[in-house]
Amino acid sequence: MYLCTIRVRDLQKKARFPIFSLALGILAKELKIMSRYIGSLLLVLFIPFGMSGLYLGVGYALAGEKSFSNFQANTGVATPLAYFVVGGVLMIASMVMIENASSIIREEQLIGTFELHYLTPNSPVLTWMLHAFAWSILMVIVFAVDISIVLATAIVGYDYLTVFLIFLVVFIGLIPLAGLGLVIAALTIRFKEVYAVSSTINAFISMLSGFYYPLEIFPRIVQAVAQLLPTTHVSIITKTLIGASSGQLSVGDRILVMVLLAFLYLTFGKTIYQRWENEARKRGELSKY
Amino acid sequence: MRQGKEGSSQNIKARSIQALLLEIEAAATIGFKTYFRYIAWLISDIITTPAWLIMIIVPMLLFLPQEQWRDPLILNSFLWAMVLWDIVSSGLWTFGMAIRREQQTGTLEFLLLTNANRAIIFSRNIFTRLFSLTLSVIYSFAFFVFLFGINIILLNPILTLVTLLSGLFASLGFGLLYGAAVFKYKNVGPLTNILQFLILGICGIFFPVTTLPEPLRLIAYPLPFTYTADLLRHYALGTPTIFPPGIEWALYVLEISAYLSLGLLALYLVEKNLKATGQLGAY
Repeated sequence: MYLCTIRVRDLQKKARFPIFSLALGILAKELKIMSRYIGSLLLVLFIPFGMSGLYLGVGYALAGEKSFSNFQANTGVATPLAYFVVGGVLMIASMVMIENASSIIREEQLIGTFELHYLTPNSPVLTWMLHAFAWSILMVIVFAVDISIVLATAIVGYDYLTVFLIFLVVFIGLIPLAGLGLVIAALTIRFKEVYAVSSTINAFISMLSGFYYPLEIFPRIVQAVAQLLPTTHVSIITKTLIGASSGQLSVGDRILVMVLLAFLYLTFGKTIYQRWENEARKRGELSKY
Repeated sequence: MRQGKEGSSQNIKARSIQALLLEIEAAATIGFKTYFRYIAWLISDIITTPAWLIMIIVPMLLFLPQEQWRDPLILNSFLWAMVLWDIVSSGLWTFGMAIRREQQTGTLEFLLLTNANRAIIFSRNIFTRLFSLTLSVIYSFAFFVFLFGINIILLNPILTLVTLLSGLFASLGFGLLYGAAVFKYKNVGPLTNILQFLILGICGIFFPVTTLPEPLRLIAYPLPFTYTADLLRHYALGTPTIFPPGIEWALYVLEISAYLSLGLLALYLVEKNLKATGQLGAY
C-alpha cells in the first residue's frame, strides 16, 4: 500500500526537463521497436545498395568500360556507388520521415492506445514531432552505417570532415519533413487509412528531390518547384560534397534555405494538424476508426 | 454394375472439376473484392507511375552519353523491363502475401480445415494481378510515350502476349515455391524485397543475361524469369535469344512445370510438417 502511494506520488511529480524526458522516452521506444524487427532494419540498410547495384549493373551492361566516364560527364561525380547510396539513403529517410507520424498514429488507433496520449500532460503535436526527431537521429545512424560500408570498400576516399558535414546536412534536412508528416498525420486522424495518399506524396517528393539524378534533366519550371522541397537542397548539398555541382545557389545559401523551409514546413504542419485535431475532437471523430 | 461404377467415377470426376471451378471462382471473388475495396491504391498506382518511371529509368541513362538517351531500342527494353518487374514481384508477393495475411488475421487454420486445393486458396492475388498487369502495361506505355517521346517497338504482338502470359505461369510456379517458404518461416517480407532486387539483376530483366559473368549466368539459367525476359525482348524488340527459340521455349516450359510441381509438393509437405509439429498456428 505504502509502495503504491509512493508510485502514484512519483507519477504526480513534474519532470524537470519535460520535453527532454519525452524525447528520450520516444527515442528509447523507437529504438526498441526498431531492434524488434531486425529484418526491416536490414532492409532499410540494404535498399540503397540494392538500387545502386541495379543501376550500376544496367549501366555497365549498356555502356561497358565507358559507363563510369559517361556517368562523371553527366553528374560530375566519379563514383556512382557513393552517388546512388547517398541518394538511396536520403530517399528512404525522407519516406520514413513523411510516413512516420501517420503510421504511428494509425498503429496506436488500431491497438487502442491512441487516446491514452490525450490523458498525458504532453502535447500530442509535440509527441508526434519528437517521433520525427527520433527517427531523423535513427536515419542518420542508418546513413552512417551505409556510408561506412561504401568507404570500407575503399572505392571512395573522402575525408572525415566531409562525411561529418554530410551527416549534419542530412540531419537538418530531415527535420522539415516532420511538417509534411504532421499534415499526413492530420489526414490520418480525420480519414484513418491514408497510406495511398502518403505513398503518392512520397513518390513525387522522391522524383523532384533528385536523389538519383541531377535536376537539370527537368524543364526549368519543374526545377523551380523542386527548390521548394527541403530534400532537394539536402540532396544537392550532399552530392556537392562528393563532387557534383551545387547549381545556381552556393552550399551556404542552400543551408539557409533549408533552415527557412524547416521553419515554414513545421509551422504549416503544426497549424494543419492542430486545426484538424480540434475539428476531430469537436465532431467526436478522434476515437472513430 | 460395371456401367454403374464407371458412371459413378465419371460423376466423381465431374463433381471434382465442379468443386475446383468453384474454388477458383471463390478465390477470384475474394481477390477482386479485396482489390477494389482499396480503390485509392489503384488511383495512387496510376498517378505515381510517371514518378517511378523517371526515378528508375533516368539513373540508368546517366551511364550513357546524352545523345543516346532517346535511343528507342534502349528505352523500349526499359519499358518491357518495367512490365517484367511487375511479373517478378507478383511471383514473390502473390502467394506469400496471401498466406501471411491469413496468418495475421487468424483465418489460416480455418482455411486449412477445408479440403480445398491449397494452391487455389492462396492464388487469389493472381487473378487481380492479371487485371493490374494489363492496366499497368497500358498506362506504362502511355506514360513512356509521354515522358520519353518514343515510338513503341512491338515486332510480334501475338508471341509477345503469349510470352507475357507464360510469365504469369512462371510467376505462379515460383510463387508457390516461395509461398511454401513463407508458410514455414512466417515473416519474410524484408527478405522478399531483397530477393526482388537479386532476381531483377540475375534474371536479366533490364539487360541480357549474356552480359553477366559466368557464375551468375549459372544461377540465372534455372530461374524461369530469365527466359520470360529473354523471349519477351526477342519477340517485342527482335533481340537475339540465349538459346535457339525452340530449345529455349522447351526449357522454359519444362522449368515452369518443374516449379509448379515442386511448389505444390512443397506446400503439401510444409502443411503436413507444420500440422505434425503443432506449428501451424505459431507465429
